[in-house]
Amino acid sequence: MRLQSAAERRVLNLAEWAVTDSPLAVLGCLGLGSCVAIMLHDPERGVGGMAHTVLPDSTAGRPRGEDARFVDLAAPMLLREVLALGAQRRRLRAHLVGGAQMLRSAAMKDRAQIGLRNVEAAHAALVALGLRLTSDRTGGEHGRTVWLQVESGALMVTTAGKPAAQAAVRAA
Amino acid sequence: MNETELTSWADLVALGTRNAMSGLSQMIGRDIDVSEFSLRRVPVTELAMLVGGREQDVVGIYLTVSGAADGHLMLIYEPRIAYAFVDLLMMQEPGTTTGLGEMERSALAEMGNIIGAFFLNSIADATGLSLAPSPPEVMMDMAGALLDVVSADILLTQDETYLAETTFAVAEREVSGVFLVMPSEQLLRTLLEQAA
Repeated sequence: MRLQSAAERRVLNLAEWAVTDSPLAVLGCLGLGSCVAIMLHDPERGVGGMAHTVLPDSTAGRPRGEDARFVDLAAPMLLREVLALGAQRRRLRAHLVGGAQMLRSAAMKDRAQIGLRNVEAAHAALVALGLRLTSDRTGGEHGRTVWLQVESGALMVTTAGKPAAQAAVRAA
Repeated sequence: MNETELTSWADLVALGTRNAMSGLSQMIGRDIDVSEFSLRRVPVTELAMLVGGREQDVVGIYLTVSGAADGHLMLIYEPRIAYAFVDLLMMQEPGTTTGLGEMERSALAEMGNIIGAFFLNSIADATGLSLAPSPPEVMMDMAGALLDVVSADILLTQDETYLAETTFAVAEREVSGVFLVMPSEQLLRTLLEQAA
């Protein structure tokens, strides 16, 4: 969806996505485990987008409509939508957050790889779209929450079990 | 799924849950009260709402089901409740456990083993299907992050899941938890065919 009005704090659930040029908008994904938040931001135009992706590859599943569940479909869709709002491809900053390995036991090995596979798919998708990764807060073994402030491009990431928010990445 | 099938599944899960709670009761030597048992179809995106939202710190004990068909079993507790269960399991004074080390995780995994085995055994007995639980995985993290493990699996092909939710409490101790059963569509079909 595209956000229109100002002063918005929008939480994206699994497979949801949003793009906006509202300077007051803050987009967030809460409690990302193996899921990966893909973010694109044009600091000059003040356009930002976020997708809460869940799975790496749409060919392995059953794609539904225009949601962001599959990384391989969500990344180009997000790019298309921020460009439609006036973002310039050469100015775009791309961020990835999430893709943790929540399961550790040998018995769960196949399922445990999902976070890693999501991150790999996101890297591949960004390369294919000719986008450079500005920040990459992926992997590890704990959940994360991320907020993207659209006007400044500031990214706020918190990790489960750690008290304070970690350093913001400035887009300016 | 029609009304008859839903009832049939509800009976099976209720039977399994009763058996699982009886196993847990034997394990800790205390009575267990089941305060709520519900069965419904929910969007996968709403699973985290059942346990206080995606950012809520929780402890999860997770098992997968394999064999004739697959599915997910998960016990979810607030951390303080998980600590209280560890005290019960390890026969310690209430309040002894304040975090999850290797020993505490192992105790909770054992609780997962018991509940998983008792639950699946009773369903296997009733249907003649061979269903095996995986070794349990104990996780402490944001609820959303924990549930991603299940959600990714379901969202591959569906938007919703059938969910059996049991809220239970241990007599004389202020500890309660949530037991979630999420069968795959395939498991559900197989169970219903066998039960018919």
